Amino acid sequence: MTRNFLNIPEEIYLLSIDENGNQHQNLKNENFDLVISAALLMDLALLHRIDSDQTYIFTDKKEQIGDVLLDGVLDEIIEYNNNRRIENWISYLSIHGQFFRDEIITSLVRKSVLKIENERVLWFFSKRKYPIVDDTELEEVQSRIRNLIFGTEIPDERDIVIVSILFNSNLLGTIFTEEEVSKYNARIVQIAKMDFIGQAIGNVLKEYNISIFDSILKTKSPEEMLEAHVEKLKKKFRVTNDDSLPTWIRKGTRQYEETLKYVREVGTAEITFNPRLKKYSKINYGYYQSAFGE
Amino acid sequence: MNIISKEVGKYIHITIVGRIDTSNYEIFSNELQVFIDEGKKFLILNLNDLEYISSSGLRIFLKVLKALRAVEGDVVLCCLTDKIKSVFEMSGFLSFFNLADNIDSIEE
Repeated sequence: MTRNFLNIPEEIYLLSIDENGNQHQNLKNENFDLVISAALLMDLALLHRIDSDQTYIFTDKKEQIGDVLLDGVLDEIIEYNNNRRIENWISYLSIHGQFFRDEIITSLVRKSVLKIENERVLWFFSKRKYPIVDDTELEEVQSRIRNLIFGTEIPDERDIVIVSILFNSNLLGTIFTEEEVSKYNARIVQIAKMDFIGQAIGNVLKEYNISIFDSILKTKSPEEMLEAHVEKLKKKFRVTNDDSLPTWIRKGTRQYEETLKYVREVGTAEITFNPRLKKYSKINYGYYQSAFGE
Repeated sequence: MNIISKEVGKYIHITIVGRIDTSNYEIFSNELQVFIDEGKKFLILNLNDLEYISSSGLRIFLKVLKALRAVEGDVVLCCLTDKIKSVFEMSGFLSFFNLADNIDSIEE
């Protein structure tokens, strides 16, 4: 089978940024991790490496593809060697979000679709941007999807995947105007639901964003902040049994008390723990900001 | 999965028995491709005995429909059970196909 020049996650990444490399509001941070995880699964399905029904993902062919990201995910699925719900795979894989993002950008730079630009913000601080250098591929995808939606053709499986991701991630605005979305809503919805993994993205994002919203509304004390953060992590990584949590976020352990102490000290529960160095730190959202050139 | 086919006028009646899943969707695809390669344009797929279908199976239905519509042919889905109909409905595939409750209604 001939591979497209860009894989599905790369196409989605390109559709989600402007010409300066700034990312669409709806696809930042954890949302991006979840959507890209789903995009990888959908690409594997198109390449007959996995199959699914409305609920589960199954392995299909086991041959490597020759793509770092896709092969990495395929290895994990093969190694798991069991059926797992689509939503759970999306959430589980999103733990590698930062790696996915790095690899997508690296690959797009290598393919001369993006370029690296260093910009000095203050005299002591420079940020890296990845603006689009050649938008031929992007324009091709945009025009293909627009023609599909405005027409009555039976869609190709690759285009179904793109429409499904854009619809379920609230990213239709990257291709269509509001008027177009409203006018062609029935056609968009019809095509968007033609992929079960695509359908699952909407559920995962909804669940995840509700959990964040809840935690913002309800959090008050450091104890509550930490509990909310743990709940968020549990939801994101679909941990149902507290015993599977690492000790630093498992209530009742000595390490959890240390975590609580750190939360009190820094005033936020958006923290992480390095078990090797036995060191806490605040989550570095600056990574995302520099990656998106904000 | 078992596939039983017979030619009736311009139609090929194809009855699918069992499951179309990861283990056999390629066989299913190849079987249908034979009819397309022979120049048959109208397929009636009797799904009354289809027990399960995965995404890969659904994609073959779409691929065949696309190929036949391109040559002014068609695929008619017939005799869908509630279970299979709901899969086609949930996946949005149903709206692309012509449906029939029974074989006789097509031939009339």
